[in-house]
Amino acid sequence: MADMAILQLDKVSYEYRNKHQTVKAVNEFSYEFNQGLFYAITGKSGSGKTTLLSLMVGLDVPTEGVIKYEGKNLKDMNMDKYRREYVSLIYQDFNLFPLLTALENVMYPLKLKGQKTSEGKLLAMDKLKMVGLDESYYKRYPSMLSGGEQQRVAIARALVTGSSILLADEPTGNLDTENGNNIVSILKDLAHNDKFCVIVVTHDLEIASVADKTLSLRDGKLIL
Amino acid sequence: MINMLRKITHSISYTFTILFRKPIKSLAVILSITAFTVLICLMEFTIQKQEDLLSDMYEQFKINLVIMDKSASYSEDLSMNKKYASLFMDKENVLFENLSNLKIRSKGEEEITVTDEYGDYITSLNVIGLTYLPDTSEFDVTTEMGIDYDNSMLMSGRNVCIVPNRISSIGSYVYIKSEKVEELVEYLVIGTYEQEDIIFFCPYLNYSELLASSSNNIYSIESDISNTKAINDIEIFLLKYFIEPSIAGVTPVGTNELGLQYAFSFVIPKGNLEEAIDPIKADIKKLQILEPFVFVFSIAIGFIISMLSIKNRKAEFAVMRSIGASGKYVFYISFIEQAVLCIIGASIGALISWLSYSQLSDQQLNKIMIFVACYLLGTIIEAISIASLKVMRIMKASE
Repeated sequence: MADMAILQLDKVSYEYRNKHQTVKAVNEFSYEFNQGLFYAITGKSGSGKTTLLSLMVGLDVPTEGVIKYEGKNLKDMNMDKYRREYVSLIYQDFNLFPLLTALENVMYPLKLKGQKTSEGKLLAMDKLKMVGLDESYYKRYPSMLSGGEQQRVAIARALVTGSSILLADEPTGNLDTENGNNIVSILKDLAHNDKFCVIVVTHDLEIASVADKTLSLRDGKLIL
Repeated sequence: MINMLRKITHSISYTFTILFRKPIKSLAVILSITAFTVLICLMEFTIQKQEDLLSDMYEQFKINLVIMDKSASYSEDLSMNKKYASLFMDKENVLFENLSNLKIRSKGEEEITVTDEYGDYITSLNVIGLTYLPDTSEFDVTTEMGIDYDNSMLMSGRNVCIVPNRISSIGSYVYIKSEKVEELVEYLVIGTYEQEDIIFFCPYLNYSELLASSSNNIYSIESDISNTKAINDIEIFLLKYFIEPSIAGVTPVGTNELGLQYAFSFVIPKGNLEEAIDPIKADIKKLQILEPFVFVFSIAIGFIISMLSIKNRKAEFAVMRSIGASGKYVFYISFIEQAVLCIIGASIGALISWLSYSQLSDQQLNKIMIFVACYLLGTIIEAISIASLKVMRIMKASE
């Protein structure tokens, strides 16, 4: 029997109104995402990639269709808890808290969960090590880190919650080629070795070429 | 429960971490709030100061309406008809609204007998009728009033009295007999004094109606002016009954309607009084017009600072939401942060004001509270909007 998809999208649509018209940003998108795979979602700017991402991460609710996490409809789940425990998001701009150190940034989601500081600290140090940052980085503020290092901290912050889905919005968009490749390689390893379901939204064709599956979006529709 | 406590501790520690790690921004907000708090207090204080100055002026320029029989000495052997007292106590007359601290002193030759309720003799006392509380400087007595009574009772005609404390205590009754009143009359003791004196103080009206054997019993009338603008009207009114004294001690020639020489005098020339008071009044008026504008301006700026402080950190709060912080958590974080800054700033402002002026009036405290409340209202409005924001849109906009 095949494994159940960790994230299922069934005829998901999302409409919003701007001043002049109603825009269908995502149009009847159906797909099943599995653990252990590295997905790339590509498409031109305005194709609905980011909207799709915000639906998958639970920051928005589809106007039509159903999104299921491990078979459970997201509508029936507590969205804050879903984001705290089951899904993590990585941004193009890293979006670390500028006034917290690298270690504090990684510990932050654990504090939101109410985890003990001592336990959280060990876990955070472990995740920083996993993305290749040793203890010399722990007390550095984001402004003291390179772009690549900041993105590694962001990935460590995403990993620390123990979620099994990692969503990334243009994670290499602000990095040079070498750092970009390193981040992609970390994400691939997380999918293949640690069985994460990694979904990257990008218009970088190089990432798309190394992904296990590539999905293209045009006008909010999945093009097969 | 433990989880919840950890979350609360975390949100508070996060707030303080952020405040300490951006000291210049925090300090700027605190100083702005301090400055506005001091400004609010300063306006209030300046008005208060001017009003105090005005009161001082009134005090300095007090019109001592010493109305007296020029043929007698100031404090003794005077005989003035009680009709003159009624001029001052009649609401219809120009004096009533425009004079304050009216002091009518009245004394006759009568001696009254104080008895217990069965009519047994206790002591004999001289009577003085007053419209005000007797004080040390004038009568060499230190009066203690009962908490339920005040000196306004001395403006009434009620049977109340102030007696030596060896005779009775506050709140109890004494009974008196006099030449005029043969029946025992009950008097409520509203105050006592400690000194070994033999005076029975009672309201002037009570004295003149009930106890005084002669109708010519006032020995002086004194009053302060409360409305300088009315001086001319007061003067015209007084001239109907009294004679204005001439300068350099020359006894005025003339008689009043009783055929007696009564005179009144304004201690300070009225021209000087107006000259001194009018600029202060004008200043107070200007300040009173300006003050609400300054207050509203301070509130508006506080409101804007609080909203901007949160708005500028939209992206940070959006990240929090995206990693699982609830809307409530984001609301608390932003609210606690601004509340801490506001309370510190306002407290410093209040402390500076208190140190500078050695006091903080209720009005100043109320205005500080209103300022703080408006600042926090701005915070709440913005925090609510942040807590319900569309996270991805903000993240995209900030890229």
